[in-house]
Order: sequence, then C-alpha cells, then structure tokens
Amino acid sequence: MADASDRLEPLFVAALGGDAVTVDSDGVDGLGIERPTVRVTPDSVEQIADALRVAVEHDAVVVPTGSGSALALGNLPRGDVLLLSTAKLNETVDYEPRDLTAIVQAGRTLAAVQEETGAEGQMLALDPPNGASATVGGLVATNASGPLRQAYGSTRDVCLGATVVLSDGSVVKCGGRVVKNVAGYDTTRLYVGSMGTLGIVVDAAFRIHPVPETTAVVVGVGDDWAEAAGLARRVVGAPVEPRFVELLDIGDARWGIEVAGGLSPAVLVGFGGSEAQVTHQTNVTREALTSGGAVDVWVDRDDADWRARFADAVHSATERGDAVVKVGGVMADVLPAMQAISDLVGARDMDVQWLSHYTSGVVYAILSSPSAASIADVLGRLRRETTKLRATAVVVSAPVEVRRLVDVWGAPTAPLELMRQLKRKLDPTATLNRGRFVRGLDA
Amino acid sequence: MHEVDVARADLSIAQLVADLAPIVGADSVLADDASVMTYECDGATLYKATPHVVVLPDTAAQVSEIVKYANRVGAPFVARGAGTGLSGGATALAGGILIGLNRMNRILSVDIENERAVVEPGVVNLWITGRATPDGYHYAPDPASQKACTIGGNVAENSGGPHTLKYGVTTNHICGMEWVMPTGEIVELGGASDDGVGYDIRGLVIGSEGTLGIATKIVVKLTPNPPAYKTMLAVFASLEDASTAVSEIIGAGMIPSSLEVMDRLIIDAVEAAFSFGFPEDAQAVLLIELDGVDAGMEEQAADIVDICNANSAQDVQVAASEEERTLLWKSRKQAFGALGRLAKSYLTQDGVVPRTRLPEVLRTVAEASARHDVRIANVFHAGDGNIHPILLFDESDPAQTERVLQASGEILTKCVELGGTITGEHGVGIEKLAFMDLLFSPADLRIMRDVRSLFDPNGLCNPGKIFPGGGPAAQEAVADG
Repeated sequence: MADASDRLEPLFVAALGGDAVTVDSDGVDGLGIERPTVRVTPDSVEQIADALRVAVEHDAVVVPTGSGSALALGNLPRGDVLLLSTAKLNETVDYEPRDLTAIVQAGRTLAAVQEETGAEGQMLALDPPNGASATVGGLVATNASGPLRQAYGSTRDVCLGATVVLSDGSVVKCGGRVVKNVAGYDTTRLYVGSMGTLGIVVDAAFRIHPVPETTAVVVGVGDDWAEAAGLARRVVGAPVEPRFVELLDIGDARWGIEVAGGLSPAVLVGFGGSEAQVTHQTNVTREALTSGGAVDVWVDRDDADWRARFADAVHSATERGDAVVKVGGVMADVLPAMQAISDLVGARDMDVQWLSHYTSGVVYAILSSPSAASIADVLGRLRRETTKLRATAVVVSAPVEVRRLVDVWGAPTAPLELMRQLKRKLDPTATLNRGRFVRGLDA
Repeated sequence: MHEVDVARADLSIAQLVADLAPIVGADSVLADDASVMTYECDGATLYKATPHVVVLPDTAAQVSEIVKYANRVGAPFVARGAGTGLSGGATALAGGILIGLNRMNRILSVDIENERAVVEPGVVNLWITGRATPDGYHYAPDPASQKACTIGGNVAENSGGPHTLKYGVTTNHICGMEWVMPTGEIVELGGASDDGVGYDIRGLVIGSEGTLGIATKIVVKLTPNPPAYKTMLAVFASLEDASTAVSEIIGAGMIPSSLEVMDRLIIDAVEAAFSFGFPEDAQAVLLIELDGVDAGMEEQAADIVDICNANSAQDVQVAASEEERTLLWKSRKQAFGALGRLAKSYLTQDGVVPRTRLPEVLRTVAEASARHDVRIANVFHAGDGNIHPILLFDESDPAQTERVLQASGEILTKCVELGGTITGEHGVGIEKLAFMDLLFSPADLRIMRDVRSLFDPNGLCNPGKIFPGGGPAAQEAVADG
C-alpha cells in the first residue's frame, strides 16, 4: 500500500507551493507514526485556510503543531495525518505595554514572548509543563498552567480573545483585546483547552502582568507527605499572598538538590513583589513552617530555578519515556490522590516522582516503568480512585506504547453528547486532530 | 416605551396557569396583571414586555419540568434573578413564561478548606461574602448591585465590578454548575476542580445572558481576604489628568485592586446627597485601592500619591482607618443612587477601550453630550478601560430618548474603533443588539448562532437577545408561537 504521504504531498504542493511542504520521512515519534508524514508550514492565515480546505476535501487528518513540545499529549490520531506547523506565524501582532495586553501569533514561542515583554518589565504569566519552548497556539490548545496559576490563573484566565481558522477555511474572531468583554458568547473559552479540535488558533490576545521587583521561595521540609501538606495548609491560612504553593519530593535524585538527611517531602512557597513585601512574607512563612514542625526551613532569593523545575521534570520525563499523570481536584484531594498513586505504584516495579500545585488541588505524578502495560494498569485503577474524589486524571505525557493502551483523558466533565454536537458543528469532517481528544468525541 | 422588534407569543394564559400549577404548585404561578407588571423590565427600563405568567420554582427538577413544558407548547421562557441587569437580559421580550429563581436562594455548602461554596442561583452575591467573612474569605466579583443581584444573574451576565482589575470577573470564579439546558435536560458542567476534561462548556455558557440555559447550582471559588487595604482618593481639575495618573500607576508596575473615576456631574450628585466637601472646581475624583500584605504598602501608596501630585492633583486623601476607607468608598458606591436626584431616567453605557485610549473615548463622550444636548455623567473602572457614561434624560419624552440613543451609539462606535468592545460587564441584551455587527463579522456571529441553535433548537430560551435582528432562532420561535 502506498504511503499516505505519496497521496497527500502533491495535493498540498499544488495548493501551497513546494516551499511550504516537506515530508518527515521517518514519521512522527510523539504520535506513533512510523510512515513518512507530510508537514505543511503555511506562512499566512490564508495558507492555513487553504491547507484546511484541501485536507477536508482529501480526508487528511490535520494535527496542528507549534514547537512539537506537546505531541506526547493526547490520544493517538486516526487517519492519514498531515502535520500543520504554525512555526512561520511567529510574530507579535500588537503589544502595548501600558495596556498590559498583547496579541501574539500562534507559532511564537513563550520564550520569545517573555523576552519581548521582559524588556518592558512585564511577562505573560504562564509557566506551562512544556516550558518556554511552548508556542502560543499550544498554550491555548492545552489550557496550559504551572506553579504561577495560584497567582495568575491558567491560560483560560489570561487569554482575552483569539483568531481561529475553522476546518472549512473560514476565519473567525472571538473575544477581543480588552480585559473586560461580555459582547456575545465567550467562545474564546471554547477554543482554550480544546486540543485544536475545533479550529486552528492563529493568534491570541493575552493579559500581560508586571514582573515583580523581586522574588523568593521559602522551602520547608517535612518528615512525610501528610506533614508537608499540613505545612502547605498552614501557609494557606497565614496572612501572606504566595505566587505558588508547591509540594515536591525534594530529595529525589532527579531534582539534583542536596538535602540533608535524604528527606524528601517539601513545600515550596513562592513570593513576588517589592523588597519589603517579599522579605515580610518570607519571614512570616518561615515562622509558620518552623512552628508547624518542619524539620528544615530555608529561603532562596529568586524563584526562577524552582519554577523551572516543574517544566524541566515534565520535559525530562518525556525524554526518558516516563508517563506523566496530572490529577485535578481541590486542595483536600492532594494527599488522597498521592496516597492512591503510592499504593498502586508500591505494589509494582515502578518509581514515582512528585510535584503538586497544592493550592490548585493539582498533583503531577511522573511514573517510571519499563512496562507500558503496568503503567496502563496503574492508570486504570487510579481513575477509579479519582472518580471517587470527583477529580480528573489526565496523562499529560506518555510514550506511544502507553497511549495505545489507555485513554489519556478519561471521562469528560461536560456532557459528551453536547461536545460531539459542537465538534460536528465546527468541524463536521473531524479533520482536526481526529481521535486525539476525549474518547467518543469524533468516533 | 421603546419599540422592541419581537412579536409577542400567542399563548393562552389560562392554559399556562393550569399546566404549570401541577409542576410548582398553584400559589407559585402568578398571572394577574399586577404580578406580571412587576416583571415587565429589569434595570434597562427603556425596554418593557410583560410575561404571560411568572413561575417561582423551588428545585432544579421543577425548573427542568417548566422548561420541558415550554418546549412542548412552544412557549418562550426567561430566567430572572433580582432583575438588576442593565441591558434587558431578564425582560420577557416575547412574553411567555418568566422563571423567577428567587426561591432557590440557599447556600448549600461552604467548604473553606477547599475555598469553594455551592449555592443556588437566587443567592444574593453579597450573601456568600457574608457567610465566608468569619473564616477570612470572600466572593471576589462585586458588581455595584451586589447587595441585590443574584449569582444566577452574575453567571448569565459574566458580571464584573470595581475589583476585576486584580481579581477577574465571574468566569474566573466559577468552577462548575448544575445546568438546565434549554430543552429541559439537567447536566453537570465542570465541578469543584478548575481542571476539567473536554470542552469548557462552563466557560461558554457563563455570560450567555440566559440564552443557553439556566444555572440551578453553582460552585464558586472563595478568595482569602487580603491582610491589608490602603484606600486613597485623589481630586483632579480634569478627567484627562485623572486618566493619565491611572496609566502611570499601572505603568509603574502596580496593580491596585481598584481604580475608579467619577466626573463632575457625579461629584455634584454625591455632594448634593452626602456633602463630602470636594473642591468646587474638581472635575474628576479618582478612587484607588491597594490590597495585599501590609509590608511595603506604605511605599506603594506614597508612590501613588506622588504620581497623582505629578499629574496636578488638587488634593489626595489617604484613609487612615477602616471608617475612613468606608467613607471614601461611599462616594463611589452611592454614585448611581445619587443620580436619581438629577434626572427621571438614566441609561448606563458599558463600553470598554484599551486603557491608554481612555482620554480619547472621554472626549467622544463629551462631544456626544454637547452635540445631542444630553447630560452625561461619567463613572468608570479606569484600570480596566471600562467606561460607564450615564445618560440622563426623561424617558417620557420621545425626542429626548431618541437623542440619548444616538449619543449612546456614537460612544459605543468609538469604543469599537479604538480596539475595545461595546460591553464590559452589563451584556448585550436588547439594548446593544444593533452594535453587535460593529464588533463581529457575519462569520463570527454565525458561530455564536450555531451554538445557540445547538443548545436551543426550538429558539425558546430568552429569544430576542444578543443577536441583531432577533436571531433566526427567535424569529422562528415567534413565528411558530
């Protein structure tokens, strides 16, 4: 049987010109595709629209990609895949520092956005699991968030609007570029976190924040996780306003941190603001952690390294072929979720590395095992526990072998039938990321 | 009364009463003239239409039954909370069944440990804060009407308030809902966690102005009270100076929780009512509030005072106590009420511009006021670029009303030209239907209409709102009725 690339390549060369079309001859690792795969790299919104029209007509399944840093997220796509890269749409459309807003094209990396806004003492307050190589389109598609969500929210909270190309090639705008806007339906929310299954975001408007004058992290080490969580709890009740409250198995060798006594469970409390604000809050927090029974407490100025560990851990897990599971609940779910995962992992030849956005009720567990089957088994059992907690459990990164065995998303938190109808309305041919999002969406 | 272009549904009141009574009980169905007149409009008093009947359900199951019944007989229906909306969202344009949610006003649970509360739609916004205060928490979105407006209405309108600059609007504070679809089915959207799986339908329906269904249970986030506040009030000789000061405060990297501006007309009104003693030549008052930890706040406040002085502030007061803070806020919070003294009717606009364009849009407001001979008072959320020009008039005078609508139109058109929007927190409702085309292309609107017909195939859920021309769904519904 001829490769799909033989069929698709000439069609897209004819539509977009040879410069915009290449073939990844070894396939696409993150998607489990071993056959040559056509990649189009349009240089304009019009070319994206053209590419989509051709894809619909010839039943190619479009997988949008930016830097490729989130290809290990999602179920495996079905059909003849066409990679659609937003890499050439990488400009800032409009950035007005005094308005604290920016409109940025989908292919621009977060690193580039941070550099540009950083020059004005500002930032896009997102620190996603795939790090600064993430693109704006990817942030929106995955509703990305990291430690800073405690202070600034997730992508859904800072994304003000977007321009989207639908699979029929029409270009639509949603939201706007101002921080308050209730004109018409808030369709921006529909695209944020939709895994690119409803349309291709070509630019997005964001709320921008000032970079704090200075930052610091208070680290408190506990004897066990219950104690670390108890310490985090004390901070929540203290008269301070942290940027993040994280739990971390600080003694895990993979973090590369020297910890006396080999103790692991730690709470990280981040602050930002003026020197006086940060100093006062770190003092209050140090005292709260010490009187709360922490075995060791210290303060590090500058939170950048600590925040970077989150993305670094997910990134190296993906490189190693580990599975990364994100449990989303509320604060009281953090310990039970960790306990449930520990119990499941302990019974198997498996290793786990922890990170939790505690105040957001989110736990990331990085599971190492040579056996895809045992990871799949753990996930299946974990879902039974998280369902009891009314929490979600999503595999945010895993090797292809694991994703062949499990549904990475689990049950949706909105009616599937309604989601199916929305999908059919906006992408009737299921051209966009077919099979990659919630199971049953486009079956 | 202003003309509204939606035909009244042809329904038998007696039949509706007879059919609805078994669902909610006879004493929860109101159809006498005096009762339905009470519900003829919300805060957008230019637009009036009486429902055929008013029903007051007590449970989600009853809401669901009412909606299913409405679909069986082709009756339009509109949900309503306190009726404080300012765009006509709760007005039963085509008549039909008005579903009053005031009896579903229970706070079902308060979970301080997880910073959540579960409430029914008829719960008044401020009640949640009242319940959470002893534990040091509050519900952050605080529209000016928060003593009366309900959470269900806040969800419908995606309401804001003076603290949104720092804390965000309703959609940033709602995790999940129990939701009655426009066809009557009860569904769950999201939950206690903010990390849902699948499309963010919760986000889609928040701010849908009662056209995509009815919230019957709402999971809200609770926000820890800031340890300290610092409230300042600066008086300027021009609106432009006040606006520039706002831009410079934000340009200096500070995000106050509030930046509220009032102009001379408002000052006059509050002076007449409360005698605050503002200077006679003051043209603008800027209310600034910082919140957060106590440490460092004095320095920030001093920086703000410096910025105000550098922009020719005539006077800057800093509240030294909670009593003084309350007093400074009083002028802002009483502004709308005080305007009642100045005119029989007022229409509050709600445009938004990028913050740096505030001086331009304020010039347009002043020009529109002069050109159409309409007095316009200005009170606005300067930090968000959200203006509230309040057009003062007498609605019994048709010529004056027409001039008010003209002036309104010019202001909103300018907001869109400057890269802003026609409504920041009040909603499109009936009032801004004509301006949707300015903001959205036919393709943009088609998506929204598609969403609407998918949720509400029979076009019965609050017809005539949001979409210019009444929307195909609304027109069909009325034709069928």
